[in-house]
Amino acid sequence: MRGRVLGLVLAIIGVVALGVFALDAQTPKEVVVGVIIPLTGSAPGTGQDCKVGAEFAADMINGGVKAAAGSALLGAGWNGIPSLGGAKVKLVFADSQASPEVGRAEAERLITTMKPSATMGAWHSGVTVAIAPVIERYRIPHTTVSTATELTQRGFQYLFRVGVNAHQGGEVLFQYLDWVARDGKKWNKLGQLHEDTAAGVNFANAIEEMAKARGITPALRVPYSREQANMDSEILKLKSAGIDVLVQTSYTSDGIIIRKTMRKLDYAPALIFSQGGFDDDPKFYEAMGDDANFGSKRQLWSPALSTSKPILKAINDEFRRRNGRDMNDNSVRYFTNVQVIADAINRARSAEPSAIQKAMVGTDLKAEQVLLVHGVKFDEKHDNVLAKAMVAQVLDRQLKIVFPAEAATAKPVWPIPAWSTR
Amino acid sequence: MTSVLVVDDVHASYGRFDVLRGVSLRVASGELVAVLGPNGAGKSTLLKTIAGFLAPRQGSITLDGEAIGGLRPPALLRKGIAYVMQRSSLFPKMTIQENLELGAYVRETTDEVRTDIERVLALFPRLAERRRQRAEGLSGGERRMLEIGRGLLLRPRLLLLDEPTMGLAPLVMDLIFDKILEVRATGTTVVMVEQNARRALEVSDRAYVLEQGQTRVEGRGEELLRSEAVRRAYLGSGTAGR
Amino acid sequence: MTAEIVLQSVVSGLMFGGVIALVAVGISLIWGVMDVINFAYGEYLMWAMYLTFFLYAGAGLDPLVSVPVNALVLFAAGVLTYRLVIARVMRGPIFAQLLSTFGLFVLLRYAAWLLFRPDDRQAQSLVSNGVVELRVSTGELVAFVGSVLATTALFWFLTWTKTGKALRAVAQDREAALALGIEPDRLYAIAWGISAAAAGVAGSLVSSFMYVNPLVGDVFLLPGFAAVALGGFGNVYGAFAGGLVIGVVNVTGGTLTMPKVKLALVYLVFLAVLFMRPRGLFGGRRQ
Repeated sequence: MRGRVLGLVLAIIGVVALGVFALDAQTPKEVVVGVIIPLTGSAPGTGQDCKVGAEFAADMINGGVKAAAGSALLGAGWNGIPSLGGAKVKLVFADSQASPEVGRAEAERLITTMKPSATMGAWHSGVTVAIAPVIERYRIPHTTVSTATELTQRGFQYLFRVGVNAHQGGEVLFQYLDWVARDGKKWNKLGQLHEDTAAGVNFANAIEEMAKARGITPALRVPYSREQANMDSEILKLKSAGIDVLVQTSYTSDGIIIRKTMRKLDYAPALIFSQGGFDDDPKFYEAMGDDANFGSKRQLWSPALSTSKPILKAINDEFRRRNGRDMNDNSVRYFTNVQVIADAINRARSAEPSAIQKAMVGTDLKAEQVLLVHGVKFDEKHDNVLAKAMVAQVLDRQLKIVFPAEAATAKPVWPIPAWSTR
Repeated sequence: MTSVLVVDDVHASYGRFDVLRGVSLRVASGELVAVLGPNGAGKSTLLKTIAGFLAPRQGSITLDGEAIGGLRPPALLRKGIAYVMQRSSLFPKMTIQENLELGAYVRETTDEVRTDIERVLALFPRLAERRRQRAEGLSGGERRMLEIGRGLLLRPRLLLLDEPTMGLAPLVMDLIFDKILEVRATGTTVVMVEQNARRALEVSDRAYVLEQGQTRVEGRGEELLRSEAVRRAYLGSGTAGR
Repeated sequence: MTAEIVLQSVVSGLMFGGVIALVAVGISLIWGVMDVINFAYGEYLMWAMYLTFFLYAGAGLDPLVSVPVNALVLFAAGVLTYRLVIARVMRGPIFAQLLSTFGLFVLLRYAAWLLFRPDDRQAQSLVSNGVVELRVSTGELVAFVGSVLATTALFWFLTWTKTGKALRAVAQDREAALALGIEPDRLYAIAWGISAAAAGVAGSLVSSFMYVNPLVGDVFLLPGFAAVALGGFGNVYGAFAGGLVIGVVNVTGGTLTMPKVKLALVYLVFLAVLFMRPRGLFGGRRQ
């Protein structure tokens, strides 16, 4: 009798002990999150911005950013993922080299060797399109800010778009045009100049659709390949067609060449509206000096927003202290990417990719909780229904929000002044 | 008789084909020697071997007593052997002047070369008139003259001519033979392979007849011309040329 | 489409064409002298651009100043290429020759990729940022003038020097040249050196306004070949003219039709020439 009781007690202790160990084993010390970005290639400055933005967010979530304490930002005041006993978020980076082939290979390598719980990337729409099937195949929840429409048209269950898509980004252009028209500004012809990978093509298609829906006939569309060095015929074509509202998608090197060629050939449309790319890269501003002025872009963030969101100033100041420059669209988007993933992991109470994916579907973050100007909530296609953009213009070599009025910090300059007057 | 060139029992082959199977000849300084024979006898091959385009498998070749068998063309040029190929070997897009200049390639570019060019052009007045014209615009006879003239730019010890009158009209042939005689008159030693046996024998000092890669007959030009046996075997009856 | 725009496009096309012309002359020289197509030509130009960039980044050397440096270094590289690679494959079948230069292309491109990363880099020059009356950037104008000068120097060399004449002779009749004591091997090495040096000069000249990355050779190679075909394979003077024409076809053609097809237009011209007048506009055999 005593032997059986002893045996039972030992068994219970054993099971409990096993359970304790098992529980320990189930609670990881860290959660691995993969980041695939262009650290080298044609836009290394961009990649660096994304990297420091992501690292900044991870540090905050892991408890290292005092400046965030007390704010509504998701992850502020955390010390690792709360529901996982404070497991730290660990970022691992892979370099896409701005190439779809390399990006795909690197994504696969990262997933199979580092076994991340979630991933984000790849900034270049063309690369994101290439890695999406890999993500889907390995069933890793993945957040992206790439705008290519097709990313949410192909039924990917594991890909989530945190930022604006092509339509949402282009929408603001037409709102802006309506707004300046009320001020009496006139224009004749809308044209497009875009690089010919997924980012440029998708945006141009979206603009065309939206234009036609508003009764505007786009007059000219000039796609180009980034590999060529000479943009003379492109600019001459636009100039000859009298395009005065120009929608542009370019990356850094081609953006620089195009702007220089515009100057050389004396082409200054009334408005240059870019979806972002070259004009988010500090290198563009370094190279162009004053010639960078007066271009406008779809903008997702501004330090000036801190008048309405005071926490932004503190965060930006801390970022500037660490990295020597203000946050920009790229660092902010990647910061938010990390937040969305951390939020999903926390609600899933698990580091298992499939559990995180389920939680991510139900993401519901208010604008105050993230750095972007808008919150994050996904529709059935995993687009962010809350995503919207502003318009910023480069004035005195800096991006200043000019639209909408409630966020504006400067008045727009329309039309762009002729080169001879600059 | 001082021999400039001695070819002693030379054997040479193209791959597996034995073309020269024991050829011997000697050429004295200042002589004009003809090498005759039917097609395939090895006449051109003999010149190519002397000029260094082919190495003899057996036998020796000496120039002024120095063994030269197996040396390559650039070395033989420096020893003074000028070789005019059977086929047209001018540089078509270069002028007469430039072609001649290249004939003196292995020499230092000095006034001597310039004088030699003038001398050669004096020898071939038809070329002198057109010295700045491209070689491709010349007639057959003029080309041959240019090739011979270019060979002379070497100030050669020995001038090898491979079928200089091939494909030329009879009148032009005569002109070429006249020029060859003029060249010999300047003291240049000339070995000439010819199909036109009769005319060749008429102008040369001595001649050799090759057949199947071996020397068959040797003798002075007039003797061979008058010899019945030679005439029947190699000259045909009453034919004036080929 | 006004006359002014068309004229502007022709001027721009000529500027670009000047550099293509130099590239075409470099390719054509080798083709003419030894019947070898150097597929790696664009990669020599790319390496020259990297050399220019590193001289700029490391020693502050203006790209224009590094033109002679590039010419010398690339000359040596060309001779080395000939001695180590080409001299051997020339004894082999034509496929070996084609594959060898293709192999060089792969080697040079991916070595650059590995060593230098695919980032775009650009050197800055005194002439990088100006614009001239004709609406031509100073960088382009200097590149055009530089290319014309370099090509003229090359033509002078070919026409008036002993070695230049020997080179032409070897191109026209190798055996006859040998019979005159001209050593083809030595001249082939010189030809490769000159050809590579031309790429070096071109690379330096464009560095003041173009980005270098491991893929930049493509910008020049394909128009270069089209120019060589247009000018008549092996005719270096024709190649120069062909380069100018291709430059204009590229820019003016793109402006008149659609810029996206400007490379396709170059190919169309290339194909048309090959079909209709394979000897090129300036005809003739090798020069």
